[in-house]
Amino acid sequence: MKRFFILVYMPILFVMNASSAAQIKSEQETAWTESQMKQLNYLWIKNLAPLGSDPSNSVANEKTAIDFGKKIFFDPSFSINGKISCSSCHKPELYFTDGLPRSIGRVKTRSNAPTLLGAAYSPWFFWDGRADSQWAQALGPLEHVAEHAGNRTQYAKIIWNKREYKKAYEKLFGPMPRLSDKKRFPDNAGPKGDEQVRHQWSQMSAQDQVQITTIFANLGKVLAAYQRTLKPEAARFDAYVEALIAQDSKKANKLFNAEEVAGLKLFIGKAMCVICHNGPLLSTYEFKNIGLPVVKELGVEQGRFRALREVTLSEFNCLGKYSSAKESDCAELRFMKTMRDETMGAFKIPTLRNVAKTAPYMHAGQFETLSEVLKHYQKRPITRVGHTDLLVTDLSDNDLKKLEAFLMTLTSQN
Amino acid sequence: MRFVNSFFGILFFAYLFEMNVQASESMNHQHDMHGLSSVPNIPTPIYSEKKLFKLTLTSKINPPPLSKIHQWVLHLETAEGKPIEQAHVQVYGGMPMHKHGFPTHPQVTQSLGKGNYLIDGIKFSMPGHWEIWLNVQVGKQRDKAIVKLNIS
Repeated sequence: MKRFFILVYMPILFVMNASSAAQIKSEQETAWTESQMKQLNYLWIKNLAPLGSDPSNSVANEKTAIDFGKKIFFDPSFSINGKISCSSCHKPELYFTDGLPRSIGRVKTRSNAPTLLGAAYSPWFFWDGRADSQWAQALGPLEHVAEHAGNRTQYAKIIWNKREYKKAYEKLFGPMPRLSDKKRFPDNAGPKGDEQVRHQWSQMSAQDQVQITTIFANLGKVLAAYQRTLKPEAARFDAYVEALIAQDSKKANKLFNAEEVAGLKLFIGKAMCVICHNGPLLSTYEFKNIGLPVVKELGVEQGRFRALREVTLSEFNCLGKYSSAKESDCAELRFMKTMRDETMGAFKIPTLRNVAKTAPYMHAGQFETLSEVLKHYQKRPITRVGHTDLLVTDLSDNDLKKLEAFLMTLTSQN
Repeated sequence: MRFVNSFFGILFFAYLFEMNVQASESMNHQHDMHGLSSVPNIPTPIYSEKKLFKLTLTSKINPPPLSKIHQWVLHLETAEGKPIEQAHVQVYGGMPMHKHGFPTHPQVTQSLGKGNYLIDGIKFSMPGHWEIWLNVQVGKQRDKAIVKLNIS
């Protein structure tokens, strides 16, 4: 009898129990605690709040401004050679990036083109946050010598001379000054650009300089109005969270495989990615120093620390005369973190939405693939300037694979 | 006999699996980034470390919002309960578990009278356990206080 039990029942029991064990183990691996569910809910795109207003940009939500801004965004005439538009580096088909390590405008620039999807939610713009509004950011490339490389009177005159643009402009901002007067308004004048452009600018009256700069700032404001409409759509990750919230485990299990679940668990757990990549856009939009490799041509970069002075002095900041904001609306600028220790060598935390489709990575395209990025976090190299914000995470090669599998689930249709 | 053997066999394995489930849940809890249940909300008023001052901290928006700069009011008293008017207060803070500070630089921007001070520039960039650190100086007396709170 005993022998019969050992020979027949024990193996049956073992198989039965092993099968139940595998099922329970699998359920454990895909189960989420209440605390983890709270975190996932906070990352869900359905919890992305409406954008609201931008007090510094009175036309931020105006339909005329959005349509006008969209036309300018794709119009290469707003450049020194008529060949460079905003969409040259922010291509819709590449999630508003360009696929290059560092963008090429008139010449090669210092920066990787970040995605514009959801960008309007950040309080700071450019990788180092040297602009505190999306409209102030839009002005930078327009007159930067390496990018569009045009100038302020040139741009004002493009609007003045094109009926459709002039009509939209005047509807939004009132009558333009008579820009056909070449004595007052030379064809190419601005405070940046080559010597001739700057000389022409210096010959203009202070009042006319303000009039032209107002048009230039308004150009940024309509470009921002359009860019505010660019938001990422839901990704497979969001469908998974939605299924978990609905307690539809069958659907959830179809949406995410075991490796992706494990990657997500690492993302919000041991790997501590959510410390910086949090919220529905997977970024807190702060500035962190993660000890990136130095790009030889660019030298050691101070990042946010250097930008603090620039944004404080910018005529286009929230407190400046071209902003429609009240002082109380400018809290981000008034209370910005200025400590050297926390800003030196730091760059803005990018969104991870569509990260699989927006290579290369980091502010100067230091890494070509996601796997290289993850290796960097695993190695945690010493910084060349400032202290590192990277925490010790003890990630194995297998962990990196799981994390990468999860990151691939953040891709949306647009 | 056969039935009894099978029954105890199943029971034994069920016990083993239960132990396994419990161990796994315990590990999951250890890895939760926001294991907040043990963190108290603001006990008000609180005393500074050397018990020189009594402080009450109140958010002007309740509950405190996420990812938005907002204001708090600090009410400051002596240990005996007398409001302090001429204090110099520095405000810092962050998430000690994550080893980072506030995303902003909060400051006392106004003395509101009767021992009340307006703190502006507070921003919580994510849910979790945050701390607000207050360095208080009144004349030659200096003390500090740490206020712990859960943001969700």
